Formats: sequence, structure tokens, C-alpha cells
Amino acid sequence: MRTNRLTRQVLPFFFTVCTGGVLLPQAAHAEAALSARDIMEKVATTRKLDGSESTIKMTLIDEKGGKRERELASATKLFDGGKTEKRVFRFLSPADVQGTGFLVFDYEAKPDDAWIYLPAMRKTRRILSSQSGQQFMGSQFTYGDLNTPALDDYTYTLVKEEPCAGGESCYVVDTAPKNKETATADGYSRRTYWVSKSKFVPMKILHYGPDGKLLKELIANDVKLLDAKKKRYRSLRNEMINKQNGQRSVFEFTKMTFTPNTKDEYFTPTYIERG
Amino acid sequence: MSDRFVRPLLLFCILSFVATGRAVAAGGEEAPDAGVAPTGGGTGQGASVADAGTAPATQEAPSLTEPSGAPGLFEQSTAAAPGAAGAAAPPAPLNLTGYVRGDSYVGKIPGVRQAELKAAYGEVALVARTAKQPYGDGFAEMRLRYGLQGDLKQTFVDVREAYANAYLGPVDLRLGKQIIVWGRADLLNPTNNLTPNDLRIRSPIEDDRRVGNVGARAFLRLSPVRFEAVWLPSYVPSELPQVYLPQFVSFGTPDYPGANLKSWLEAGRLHLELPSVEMSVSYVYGYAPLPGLALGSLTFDPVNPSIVIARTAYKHQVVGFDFSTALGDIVAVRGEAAYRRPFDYKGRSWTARPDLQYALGLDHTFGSVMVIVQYLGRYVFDWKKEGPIMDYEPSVLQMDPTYGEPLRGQYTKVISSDLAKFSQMMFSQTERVQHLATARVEWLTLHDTLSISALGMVNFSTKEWLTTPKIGYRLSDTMIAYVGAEVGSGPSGTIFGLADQKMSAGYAELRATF
Repeated sequence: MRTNRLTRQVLPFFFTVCTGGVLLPQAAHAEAALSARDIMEKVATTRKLDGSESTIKMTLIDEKGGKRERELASATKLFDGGKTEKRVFRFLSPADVQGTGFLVFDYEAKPDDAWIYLPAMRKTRRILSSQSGQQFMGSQFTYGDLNTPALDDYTYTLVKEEPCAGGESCYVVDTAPKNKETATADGYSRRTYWVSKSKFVPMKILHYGPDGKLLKELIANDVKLLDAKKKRYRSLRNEMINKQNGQRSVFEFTKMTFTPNTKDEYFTPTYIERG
Repeated sequence: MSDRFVRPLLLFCILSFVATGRAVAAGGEEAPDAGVAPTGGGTGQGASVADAGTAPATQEAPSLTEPSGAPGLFEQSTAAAPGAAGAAAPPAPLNLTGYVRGDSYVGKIPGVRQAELKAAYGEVALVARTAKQPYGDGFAEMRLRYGLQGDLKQTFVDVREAYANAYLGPVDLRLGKQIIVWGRADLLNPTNNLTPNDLRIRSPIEDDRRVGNVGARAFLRLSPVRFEAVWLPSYVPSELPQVYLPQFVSFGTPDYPGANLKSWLEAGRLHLELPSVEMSVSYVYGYAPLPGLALGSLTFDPVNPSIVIARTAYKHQVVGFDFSTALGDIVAVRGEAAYRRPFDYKGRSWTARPDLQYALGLDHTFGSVMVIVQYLGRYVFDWKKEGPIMDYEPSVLQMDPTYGEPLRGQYTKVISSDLAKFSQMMFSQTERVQHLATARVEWLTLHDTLSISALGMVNFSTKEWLTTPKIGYRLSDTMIAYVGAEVGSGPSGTIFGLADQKMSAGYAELRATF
């Protein structure tokens, strides 16, 4: 019974918050006359980090202020010249999920391969990576919120440029799904991004529900440059606020290292079975 | 097929499999850890970002050099106790976790329209992990349970697992009391014949019924191939739920192998792990975890008649295969098969007959509902119909032992025949060919605090069925409540038919973890 819960809880998180997705910035200098699509391509295509290791605290806050916390450790590494990103992830707490491990091979051009190790099942199981549109770990984030969207599935409109949080100057970009299937899978009718002009980091995202009403707001803070050579950034604190029910979820990287030499052996079923 | 012949043959098969697997890896898909070195950034260079909460909103992080080969943050963090993530302090030498649970199982008195308590107990589990070091770590779990379990009301103490791991380059070695689970199918695993289960233990968590055994388990990692070897020198039997025994019938001293070098279990498994598919072939030689039933003694006596049944272990060998893969992003597929061949099975009621078991399962998620469906089949070789179970008349045992030799002989045959039938039921071999289906459904909602799930199994051949609906509600991060039921049934002459009213029950559990 735990299998599916953990799978759905963790995989989306694993896919993106640890390492990528719209929350992960890239280094790039603002350029003149960028189209909305150009901006989002820069957000999406140059986000990857050669390797990283991190610890993460995830806090789920209900409308009354009650908190639930999870602690995790993760590692990532690029393979195949950057075409494949491998991620391994393990729960540190709470006790009933401690030792649970995930391994994901994130490919550019085909569905990902993913495995889960559950201490209670005592074996590694292959799982499907398609958890799009679902909440994970009981949080306000969904797979669609966190995963890097397929650029061709959306239309883009550059609305304006304006100052945004942290003294940044931002592009304001509206995105809308091109078809009903994508909208249904995402659970949103449109999203509006505030993208840092200097770093191409989404600093804020507004998510509108199928009825067109504002549903959630994502706020990204604490942006760090991790790979100075390639100018790769990450936001170390990401908060998703549900504007309709008042619940919030916060992902914080409590520690992160840029480690191109992350051990290859982490990214194997054998390693996650060590618990 | 003799043991001398089979084992070298299997060794040859495994070696062939190794060669094939390596060839596939070399010529085809990328191995799980055989990636291309990252571009740029150099090796041995690391940039660290700490103090996330105090740093300005955006800033450049200092570059730090980390010694190549040293344990990284990921490895260090997983070695640390919960709560130490991100902390600068070294990991605690011992991490102690566990749970406390209280359970009540209520069912029906067999043959009477009245409820009874099937099980009620409190249990505390302590789990100790030593800090993970580059060369190894340790793990132990102890459970202390008091209450009513079956017909027994007492304190149960179980060192469920206690082992040490050594990580020696490509070799991982685990030594001590441990639980080993093989197979990739859901619920029923034909290749899983190593450590036993105690089905007397009532719990909403399936793993709670697994039992540890002392031994050694080693892995040799030659990615994408991994060789696993298991050695269990002592025999620990699976335990079945208590069933109603007729008058004068009792279980006597079991006939199990002693802890000596002639009775060990040895097993090997060769894994091939590629990104798109993983598979393994396996071989087990030793005593089957589930013993059969043999007639220990039969005493005709007017005052103290008795039929003593001896649970008796038997030796077998099992060749297995399993795999799992994904078809696009639509469905995960798992398969498993095992051929089991007991030694000297003819004429021995306590020994299973050779059989082939096979399973094929699919899983998919529909919205927030996860579904696993699976087909399982079994073909019994050299099958012989046993039984039916004869009517037992206890008073016959009270005849004068000096009287009626033909009647006693006839009665002994009846008892032996009944035991053969019971053993056949326990071994799930009451039909030559069996077709089973299982389905597991889980719906997770309310931000993963509420789970509604059900597991169902139907044996179309024997008409047995089992269902285990369950609702779990997470009151907090450390508290979870379960209510559910375990209900099974079957016609007479089947194991579920025998145990349904004894075992079927509704339950409630409250579990606090720490």
C-alpha cells in the first residue's frame, strides 16, 4: 500500500525540485529582443547542472498553520553529454519512510526510467514516471508544476517587463496550453511567469485553474549561482501557495553542493537498496 | 534429476547468462552507471552553497574543492540520523527509530453466529541503525508484542533482524539475521523461497509477517550485471494460522533439519539491470520454508488415544526467472516464473510435487487511483488427486489396541490420506492446473492523508478468494490509523475453506512511529 503513495508523493518532487524544472534557473545574460518563446527556452534548456548533491526539507502547511515535514537527500548527474540526467533520492525522515529510495533516468527524447526502493517491500520496483497533474507528497505542487514542460505544447506571450522580487528586473510571460489534453493534464488554463532578466530564473509563477480563476502562486527565493563556468543557478527555496484554500508547501535546499564528480554508483538500483 | 547433475548445469546457465548480459550491455543500451563523464566543470571541483537561509536573495557561491572519491553530501546525509540533514555535525553513531502499535481483530466463531476476538495486542518495535561508513554499517530490529494472537495470550519477543553490512569494493556482504525477498511480481512471488513468513501475525502491513533467518548474503557488482549469493545454514519454517484440530489430534515435535552444514540452504541469483529492463535468473537448493504434514504417531488406546502430526521439512530446488519493464509511459509490466522440483516426493505426503508457477502483472495509475492487476498460473507435474478428506470418528481411536487389526490398518490409511490432502492444500496443489488473478487498488486523497485501498485474489480453479479492504488515515506525521478487513473463503477441501472462519476478521490499528 505504501508503494503507490510514496511513488506519487515523491516522484514529481524527484523529477524537478531536486534538480530541474521550471524552478531551476539558468545563467544567461539578458539579451535584446528576445521573444517569449526564446525566454522560456532559456529557462528550460540551459537549466541542467553537471552534478549536484543536496539535502532538502519539505514543509507542508495547512490552512490552520499545522506543519508536516519531510527530509530528503538527493544527488544528480548528467550523462550522455547532458542528454540524460540521473537522479537518486532518499528519505531521511520521518521514520516510517526512512530509507525509501528513488532512482530516475530523465531522458530528453523518451519516457523516463524510474525505480523505487521501499524498505517495507525489500525490493526495488520499476515504476512509471508519468504522474503529471497529481499532487505529490500531499503538497501543493504537482508534477506539472515542477517538471520542465514540453515547449511545443504551449503558446507564449511576452506581456511586459517590470521589477520583481529581490531587486530583479523580470520578463512577464503568459503561457497557455495549445490543446485540451495538455490543459487537462496540467490542471491549469494558463500560467504567468516572472522570469529574471539577468538569470532566466522564474521568480514567481501564477497558476490559473480550469475555470480561469487564480489557483496557486509560486514564489522562488534564495537564488544561488552553482556553476560559475556555465552560469547555472538554482533557487534554494520554493513556496507554493494555494490561493483558494490557504494551504502552502515549501521546499528548501538546506544544503547543496555542485559536484560534477558525483559518484556514478549512486545512480544504480544496487545503491538505493542499501537503504 | 539428481542434485549432482542439476547444480553444475545451473552454474553453466548462470555463467552463460553473465556472458549474454554483458554482451547486451556492450552492444546495446547504456548501463545504469555507465554514463558519459559530465562535460565541463572538471573533476574534483565542487561548489557548495550552504547557509541558505541567511544569504542574500541572489549571490555567487564560493567554489570549494572536494577530494575526489571522498563521501559526498548525499552519502554523508544518508548516513546521518533524521534531523541532521544539512547540519555540519557528524552523523550520530546510532540512529534509533521504531513504532508502537495497538491492534484488535474481531471475527466470527466458526460455525456459530457470534463474534470473537481473533487477535488483540500491543507491539513495540525498535530499529537501530549504525552510522553508515564507507566500509559498512549495521542494522537491527527487535519487536516486543503482548496480547492475544490466535489462541495464545502471551509476550512474544523477536529479534527480527540483526546484521552487519560490509562494502568491499564491488562486493557487498551482509552477515547476520536477515529477511530476503526475491521476485518482481506483486503479492505472490514464485521465486521467493528463502526466508519464511509467519501468517499467525496479524497486521495491516504485509511485511510484518516476514521472518528473518541467520545467514550470509553477498553481491558482486559488475554493472550492468550483479551476482547475488545467499547461504542460510539453519532452517526456520513458515508458520500457518492455527486451524481447528479434531479431537485427539495434535501437533507433535516437528521434523526439521538441525543446524549443521548438511542442511543449509544455498542460492544464487544473477541480475541484469539495464535502463529499459531488469531481469534475473535464480537458483535455490535447500529445504522449503513451508513444511508439509507427516503422521508422527497413531495411538489406539481406550484412555489416551492420539494422532500426532509432525510438521516435516523437505528439500527442493527451484529455478526462477523474473523481469520488469515499462511500455512507454503507459504501463509497467512484471513477470516471474519458477520451476520447483522437490527431492524424493513420491509417496511422501509431506513433500510437494514438482510444479511450474508463472505470473504476469501490469500496473497503471488512473488519476489518483493506482491499479495493479496480475495473473498467476500453476502447473503441477506428476499430479495426483488426494482425498477427499474422510470423515473422522474419534471414538475409533479408543478401541482396544489388541483388537481389530484390519480396522486399525484401514484407519491408519484414512489418516495418512487426510494428511496428504492437507499437505496438498497447503502447497496449493489441489488442482493440476490453476489460474489465479490478483488486483490491488489504492486511492490516495486529502493531500495523501487518506488512503483507501483493497487487495483481491481469486483462484478460478479452486474457487478460493481473498479480499483485504483497508482505510488508512494519517493523523499526523507520526500517527496513522487503519481500519480494514481480511476476508477469505473457499469450498471445503481448500486452504481458504479450512481457515476462512478462523482467520477472516475486521480490524482496527493505531500506529505511532518515532
